[in-house]
Amino acid sequence: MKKKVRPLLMSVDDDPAYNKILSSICEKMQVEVNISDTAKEFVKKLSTTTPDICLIDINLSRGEKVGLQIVKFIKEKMNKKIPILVVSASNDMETLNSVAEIGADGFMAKPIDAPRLLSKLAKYLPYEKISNLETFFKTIPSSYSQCIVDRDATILGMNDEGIFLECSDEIPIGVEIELEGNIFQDILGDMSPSIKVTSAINLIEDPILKSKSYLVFDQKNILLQDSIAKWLHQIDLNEK
Amino acid sequence: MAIYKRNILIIDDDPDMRNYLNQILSSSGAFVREAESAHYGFESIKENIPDIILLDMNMPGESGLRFSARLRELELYAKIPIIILSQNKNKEIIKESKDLGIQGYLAKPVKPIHLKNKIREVLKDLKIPPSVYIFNKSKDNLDTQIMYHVHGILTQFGPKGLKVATPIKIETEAKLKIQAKIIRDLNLDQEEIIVKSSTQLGRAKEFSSICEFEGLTELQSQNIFNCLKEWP
Repeated sequence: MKKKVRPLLMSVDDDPAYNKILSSICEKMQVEVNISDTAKEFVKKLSTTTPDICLIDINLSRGEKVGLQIVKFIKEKMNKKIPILVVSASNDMETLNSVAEIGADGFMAKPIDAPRLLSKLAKYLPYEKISNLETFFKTIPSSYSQCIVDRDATILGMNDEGIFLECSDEIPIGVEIELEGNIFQDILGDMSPSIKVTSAINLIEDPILKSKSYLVFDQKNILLQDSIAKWLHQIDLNEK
Repeated sequence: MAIYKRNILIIDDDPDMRNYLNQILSSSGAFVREAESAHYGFESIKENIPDIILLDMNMPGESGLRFSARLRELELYAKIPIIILSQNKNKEIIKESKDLGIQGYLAKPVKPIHLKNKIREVLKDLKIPPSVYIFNKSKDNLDTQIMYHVHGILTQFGPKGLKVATPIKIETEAKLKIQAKIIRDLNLDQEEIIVKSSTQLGRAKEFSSICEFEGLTELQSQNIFNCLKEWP
């Protein structure tokens, strides 16, 4: 099997608590991580390794903004096109301006959490690097979220009140679903081939774990109930 | 409640009326028996207890109400639902029939739809188990394979799959299709989706399923990825 390509993230921060959190988030997301506590260590590592992304704390060495100097050094002196994100707890205009001035690719506010880091990875890393990340999911904007799920089922039996289905899903009592199939065209003629039903009972049947659900038709849809009764009666007559 | 395969007894002295009611109900799959008087009606009940009785109010001999009163006193037959059919919409008769515990009252002429509705209504109140036609695949030659649709909410999306919340618990490893704007926009509406896990959320009718697209090409994943990038 092909070895999964994991993105490598390098970080420098002197806050042990932050380093611990970052390390655990990366582990969960299956991102390889290389953490340094000091600027010196970080730059040394960077000369031998090429990460996919760097996170650099702005306030290294007690607020002297050494982080910005590292960014400048990488961008000007090292011939590496690595996306660099500046990390800081303060996101005031001054900080953001200095980040932009120095040529960093982006900014990430503290505290760090998985969705925030994911969104940054999605933005700055090429697709191949993140496609294997197990937890790479993004929240869908609500305007996009409505959907209809289609599933297969087999009709076991029917009367003019409801229908018995064999399906592998569990349909709790009171859930409305819509059925669609050629058989309904048979029954309803030119009318819409789909019908609404509401789950009335749900029985799980062992050993194959296929549930038999009894679902009732819309009680106000008298035309449907009548059509089904007549259709079933016709089947009965044909049998005789 | 179903009329299909119900045993219905019609007691009416008018043969045309009996024939009319019989045709309406038989065509809906009910088993209908007829009796021309209270006397013969009672004989028929003794033979086979019907699920419901349609009873004419005015008959020579014993009237519908008197017959009902008599049935109600007999333990074995006291609980058979009765619907009274009458020419006269007399408030006193309606009240009297209610006092006798008669479940329904219909004024003649009876429209088929009103008749069936009333029967369904009465049977529903009594919660009599329905009779079901069981399809026999080899014999019936019917297309019993269907598809069902249920509304869901897409919660998350990734280059490999998605998370969807539904009121039903979808089986793990099940294959499904999802109709949604985002899926259409990304030209993924023909792709099959496999459920990796389905777990119940806090509330009773809310399940979240983690799903993966099956056999997605690099290009398709790339498209999803590019789309995700644009989201906030």
